[in-house]
Amino acid sequence: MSKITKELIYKYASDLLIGLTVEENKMVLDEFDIINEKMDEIANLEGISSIEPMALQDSVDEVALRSDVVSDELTTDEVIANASNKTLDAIVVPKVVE
Amino acid sequence: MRSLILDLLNKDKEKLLKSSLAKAHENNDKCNSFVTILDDAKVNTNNGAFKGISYALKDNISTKGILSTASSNTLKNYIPPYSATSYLALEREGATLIGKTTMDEFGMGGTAKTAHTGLVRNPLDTLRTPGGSSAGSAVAVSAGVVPFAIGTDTGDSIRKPASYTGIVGYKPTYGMISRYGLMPFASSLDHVGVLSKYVYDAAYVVNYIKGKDEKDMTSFDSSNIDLLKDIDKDIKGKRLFYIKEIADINEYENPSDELVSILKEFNNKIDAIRNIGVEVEEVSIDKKLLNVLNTAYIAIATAEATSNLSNMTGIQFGEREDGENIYELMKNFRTKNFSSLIKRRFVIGSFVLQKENQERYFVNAQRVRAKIVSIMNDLFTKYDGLILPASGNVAPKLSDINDNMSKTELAINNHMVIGNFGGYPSITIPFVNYNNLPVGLNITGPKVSDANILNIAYKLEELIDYKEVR
Amino acid sequence: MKLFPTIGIEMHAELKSNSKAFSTAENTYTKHSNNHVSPVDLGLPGILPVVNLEPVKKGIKMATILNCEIPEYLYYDRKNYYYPDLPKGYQITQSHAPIGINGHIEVPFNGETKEFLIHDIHLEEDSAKMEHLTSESLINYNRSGIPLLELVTEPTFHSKEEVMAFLEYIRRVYQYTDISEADIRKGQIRCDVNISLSTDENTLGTKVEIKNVNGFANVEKVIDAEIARQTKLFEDGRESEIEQETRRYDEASNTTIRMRSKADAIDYKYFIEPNIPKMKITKELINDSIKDIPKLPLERINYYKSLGLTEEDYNPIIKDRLLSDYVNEVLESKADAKLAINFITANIISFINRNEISINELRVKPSDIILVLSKMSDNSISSKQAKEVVEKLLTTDSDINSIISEYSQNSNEDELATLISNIISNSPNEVEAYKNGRTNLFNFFVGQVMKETKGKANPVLTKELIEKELSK
Repeated sequence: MSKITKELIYKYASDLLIGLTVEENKMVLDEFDIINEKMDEIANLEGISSIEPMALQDSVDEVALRSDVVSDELTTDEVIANASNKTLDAIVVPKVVE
Repeated sequence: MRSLILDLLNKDKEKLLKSSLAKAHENNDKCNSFVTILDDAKVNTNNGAFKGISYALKDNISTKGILSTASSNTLKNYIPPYSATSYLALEREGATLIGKTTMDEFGMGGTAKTAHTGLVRNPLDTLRTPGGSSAGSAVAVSAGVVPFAIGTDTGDSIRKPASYTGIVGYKPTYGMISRYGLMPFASSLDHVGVLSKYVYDAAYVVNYIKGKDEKDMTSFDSSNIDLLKDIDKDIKGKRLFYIKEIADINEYENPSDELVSILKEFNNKIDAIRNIGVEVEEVSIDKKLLNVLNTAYIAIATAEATSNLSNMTGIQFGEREDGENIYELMKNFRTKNFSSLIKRRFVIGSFVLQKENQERYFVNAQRVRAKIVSIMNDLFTKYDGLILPASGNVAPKLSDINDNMSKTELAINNHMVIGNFGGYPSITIPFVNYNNLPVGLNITGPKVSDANILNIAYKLEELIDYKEVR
Repeated sequence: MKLFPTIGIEMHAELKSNSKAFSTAENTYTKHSNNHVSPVDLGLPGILPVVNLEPVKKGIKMATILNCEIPEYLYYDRKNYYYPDLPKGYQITQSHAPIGINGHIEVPFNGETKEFLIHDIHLEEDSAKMEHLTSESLINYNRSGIPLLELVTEPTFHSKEEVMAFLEYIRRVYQYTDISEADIRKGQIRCDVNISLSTDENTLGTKVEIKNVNGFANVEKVIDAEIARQTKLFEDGRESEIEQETRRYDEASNTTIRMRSKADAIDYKYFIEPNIPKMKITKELINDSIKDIPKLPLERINYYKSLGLTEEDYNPIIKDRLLSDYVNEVLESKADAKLAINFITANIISFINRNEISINELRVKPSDIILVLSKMSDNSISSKQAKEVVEKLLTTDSDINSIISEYSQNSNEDELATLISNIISNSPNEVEAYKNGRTNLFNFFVGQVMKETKGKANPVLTKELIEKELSK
């Protein structure tokens, strides 16, 4: 693991489309100290690496998939209602070039 | 039966609604408990279990046609085109929605200080926090605005505020109430639940809004479970345990007077509980594990939250920001509208998911989760439930708290996350006052044992006979 | 310099279903915008995915066809990135346990077959569709959430021809199995192409990925363009400049253009989708998913070959499963294969092509063709008449039996002999002239017979009998 720096924190935030103030960056940096210390404690727990990680809740019922039936569509007006910028039937964004 | 709901069922609902709305305004002025008060609400005439009784919803529950902000600037004008399943169930059962309550932004954090409309105050002492994130819901119930309010709970977001405001907070088994329409914080930990004055009322509400929802794959069919039928059954012979490392004062170096007093009261109550024929045993769990539960929680919850809130870009909803290009536009929206706490937590959440870090941070956190859940599941084969104080302190002063991480977090203050890790039914009931402020008692049981846990909680509520502050 | 190209393909296909992968909005293609969208497809706060069984079954079906291993449990993962066409800010896909891994499939290639290796296939959802105007882009969420199957090959191809044979074959399999319409015009198939060149057949060069190639014609062009670009660098001794990177195809210049290098590669921060509980993929589900897999094109080709048919014979047939099913039904009647194929090609395929209809909209059923062919083989009708029968059947609503009986030849020797004997005895002048050497009058007698029988007299038999009668 590479050392976490101020620059890296700005980059991580930027990858999340988030800007941080200098103070916020500093706070995150300090919090990483705590987290890393705690993560060391976790990594040092006996037998930790052999535990099957729990990613989601165990299902109570037997899981069944949905049958392929159409329902619950929004109207076009509902789809665009909360967008700030729209035409009669679509949401508008500045031109995307890729 | 100790119940507000039963009392109110045959009362004049017009009068009740009027009084609820008036109290909501009064309480909102004092405590900032509501994002929205529905002044033109009509008594719900649907023929159901609630017969028009008023209630409040946490503002992260999607309500079609009604502002739903999750107390975030990102959604300050968002009016959903669809309704949460839990809200529709309450509508169907004839409950009257009087308002949407203030919360920590998107349910993250427990200070009640991060809502876009400002901090929420504890009605028992307005200099203090009511706890979060279901702050407004707890306040509205504690102050008698409504007989019950819907909250959500990812770490202890129903049960901690219940402890701090002297009321009941119940989070049922994961999947008992649909999460469809609950604006997520961390999907594998989020629960919909209820805050009320009495255990019976919490059971009553969940009994009528639970059920399998085809819109939530993690929901389950509980139609064979009746949460009310045996709620006042004798609990003699039930078996409970507490965790020595949390409840034994000798485990602490330099404990505060407050903690000493709370644990002493806890032990007194354990004796009283034993006296009515309930077996209570002390169980030891590795302190090293207990001490990292909160870190594991932060890693898992922030990782899921980072992803869950990636839809907050101002494109489909939210007040659009300007930007030189589409990414700038999204970035400006997120930077401007998320609170500082959320932004900082996002960086952590995203960091732990990064390819090169995922194993050490996120996956190891999930291993801690698996470990404690497996220990609890084993214990639950021998015991009906875990009993512990909901916290080691009363509601702190708003000026004394922040959401910054600290190295010295006491397991007594965050053990309730075990209920979220395992999806266990978990309920907090008031049990004692310290310096004229309440502290709750938490009971957590194995999955789907909700009826049993409610039965125990109901009988303990009767035994404790808690006297409200003032 | 001899350079060896190695190519791998990621092929995305939109799956056929009524509703979307994780929502109940309709999976359909319309010219309207934003009219088949559920709160889930719009990524509204509070929505949850609910897995549609149909795409899962199709994934299992394809995994089986590709001889893949199917995992014990069904899982989905989130792929996190920001793009305006991705409303949730993540795509639900399968990363750590795809619905099929480690597969292989035999594909017709140059009259023979060739086996190609499959890395995995996985289920995921499509993004919204963006339309780019001069200064703005419009977002249409109808496509958001449409089920996709992504097929990822190993670096298993060594020429453009192999890639194209593979893609065409997989497309045909999708259509045969109803997994996907695989309609390129509707943008239902999109590919990413990975190419590396090496001077040594046994080692792989530096992999370059070309993303979002629409349609097969462009895949061909991309392969040519990228091989040309890399070859040039090799020839100039600048092969070290070939970088592991992502490029895109620019149609206007017919070149590939750099998007980002490996160092800038996006970290998608995959993790298990927590809203979809772990589900066991049972034997029953697998059996239910694969029970309707039809005979695949390769098996059919082998069948046609065994009947002595050539590529020219069967190629037009296997383009369309329904047509092939149709032909096979005829062939199973033990009709002469060559004759049957020629007859169907000339009369049926030309008709459906001309009228742009599907074979199953046709009034003429395989049983009709079988009947017509059998009447032809026992000389009840001529091949010309057979053509007319089918033509009538195609264009009118008459019943096959009445049409055939209208056309059926009279081959009753006694009946014809009596008729001919009468005609000859009633035409003494013509008989005399014939016998005096006007042999072309023979056709006069044939004409008389045809007139009397309304053309149904068996012409061969008629001629025989007239000759016999006149020589008396």
